Amino acid sequence: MSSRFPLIAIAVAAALPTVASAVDFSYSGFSTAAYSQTDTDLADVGYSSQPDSIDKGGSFEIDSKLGLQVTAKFDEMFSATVQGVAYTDLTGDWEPHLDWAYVRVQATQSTSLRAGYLRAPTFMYSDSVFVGYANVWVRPPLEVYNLSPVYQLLGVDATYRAQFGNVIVSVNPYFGEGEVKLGTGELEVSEWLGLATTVNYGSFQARIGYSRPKIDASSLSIGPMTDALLAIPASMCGGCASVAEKLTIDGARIENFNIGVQYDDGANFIASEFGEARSDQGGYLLPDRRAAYATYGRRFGNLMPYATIAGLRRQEALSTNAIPAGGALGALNTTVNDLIRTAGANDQDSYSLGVRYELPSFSIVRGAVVKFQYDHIDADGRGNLNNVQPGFDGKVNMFSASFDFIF
Amino acid sequence: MRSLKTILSLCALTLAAASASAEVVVIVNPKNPAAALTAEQVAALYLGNTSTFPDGSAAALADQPESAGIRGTFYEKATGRSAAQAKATWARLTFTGKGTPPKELKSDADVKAFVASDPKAIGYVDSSAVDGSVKAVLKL
Repeated sequence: MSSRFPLIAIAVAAALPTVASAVDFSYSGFSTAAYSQTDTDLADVGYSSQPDSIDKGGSFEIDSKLGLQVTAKFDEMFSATVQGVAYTDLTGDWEPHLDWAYVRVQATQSTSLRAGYLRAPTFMYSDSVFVGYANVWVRPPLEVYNLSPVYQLLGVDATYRAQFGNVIVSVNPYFGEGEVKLGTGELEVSEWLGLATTVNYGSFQARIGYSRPKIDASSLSIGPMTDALLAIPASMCGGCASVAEKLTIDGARIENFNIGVQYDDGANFIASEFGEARSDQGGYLLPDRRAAYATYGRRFGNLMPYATIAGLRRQEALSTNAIPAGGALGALNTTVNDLIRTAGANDQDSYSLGVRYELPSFSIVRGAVVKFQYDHIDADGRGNLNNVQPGFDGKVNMFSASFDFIF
Repeated sequence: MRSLKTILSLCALTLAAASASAEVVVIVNPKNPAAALTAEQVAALYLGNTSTFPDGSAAALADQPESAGIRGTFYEKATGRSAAQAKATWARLTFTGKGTPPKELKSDADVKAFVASDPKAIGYVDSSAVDGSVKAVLKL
């Protein structure tokens, strides 16, 4: 998929000189320098499947980012935007990515259309999750934001805004495909559609999001195990075929549903989201989950202390007795149950306290903030954590500091 | 005794003058059909919740420099947010392609000239700067 980008870039570059005289270019950027450290080496905190994330050894890389954006405005109707962001992806490397690259058409006063690389608005802050300066926390509550690991959409979206008195409604459907590279393979989304609807009224904002990605992950398949399960005659193991289906991500249709509210009157900030992820197969690897968080912050001049409580609940059983425990299939039963217990996310709660402090702007830095955040995570089994080792007691204390700015 | 009275009344006059000159006025082009705007309508524009005037026509927003006191006063009074909070909101909109921040101009005179020359324009200036080249639609 990424190999198609050079073609788009060449086409855009070739078209530019002819229109350059009339084009209005604007440049901007954002950056986060962050350090985080926990009190354990037995589990890592990070985005789902991210290898080598935050542990006792500390990490500068997991939350640090540098983003640059160029927008070319051709006229009142057409513009093109490219945004490159360097960050640590799910392969564990801090490297540049083409996060956004799209052409935008303002079709009418109330409707705009975009085509290209976009970030899907799966959750309330999904599309701006990297812009630390715009956000309250050091990182979004991972219980909710880890429900869906794929963010980038190659496709089209539309935004329609309507105003009814002081109520502003925004409807944002999107459609396309996506992919995410993991340390262990690739997760491809061959078909992805979604809709986000936002209502603004004064200090209030409410949002409902729905998205349905179809996952193709042949390179992630645990083929030998599912092949073995499917080869067993139904007379020996009636439930083996259904266990194999729950171990197969390839072809899974995931549904993400989410509802969020935000209240910001200048002094008080409240944000809360509930999210649910359901999948029609592969549930032992990507289990059905529900998660929610609530954040309250209070501004005192440039200083805003905030507190967050978040929780994740797994909706899928942690073991199966579909495979006979004794006899010839005993070993397979053990292997499959070990995998179910450790592969997908499990229940987790977290409690966070932090402060966000606005610094005066200086030179080319148009705005800057520093944040300090303490998280206490309480996980069942592996929780929502990465790289969990035997002996982990489910408790993680984490300290993070970040410096975010825009230019 | 008499001189004290004079000083006091002078003080009162000075204070009145200071508060009068601190009044922020939202201005639009004289061709704009809106006779008045509410603080909510102005806030929706300056916080990026809408990009159009209540009649559905496009709006081009002007801002004052960050160093100018009027910018903070405007955002506090019109939107209930500080100028820094508004800036964080615009950062979110800019980097998600949902909006373009208001054009930052240098002074009351520049904002007035910008608004006078563009039928879509909206800006805010000190009340003392308002003249016939623009239309005042909201006093804050």
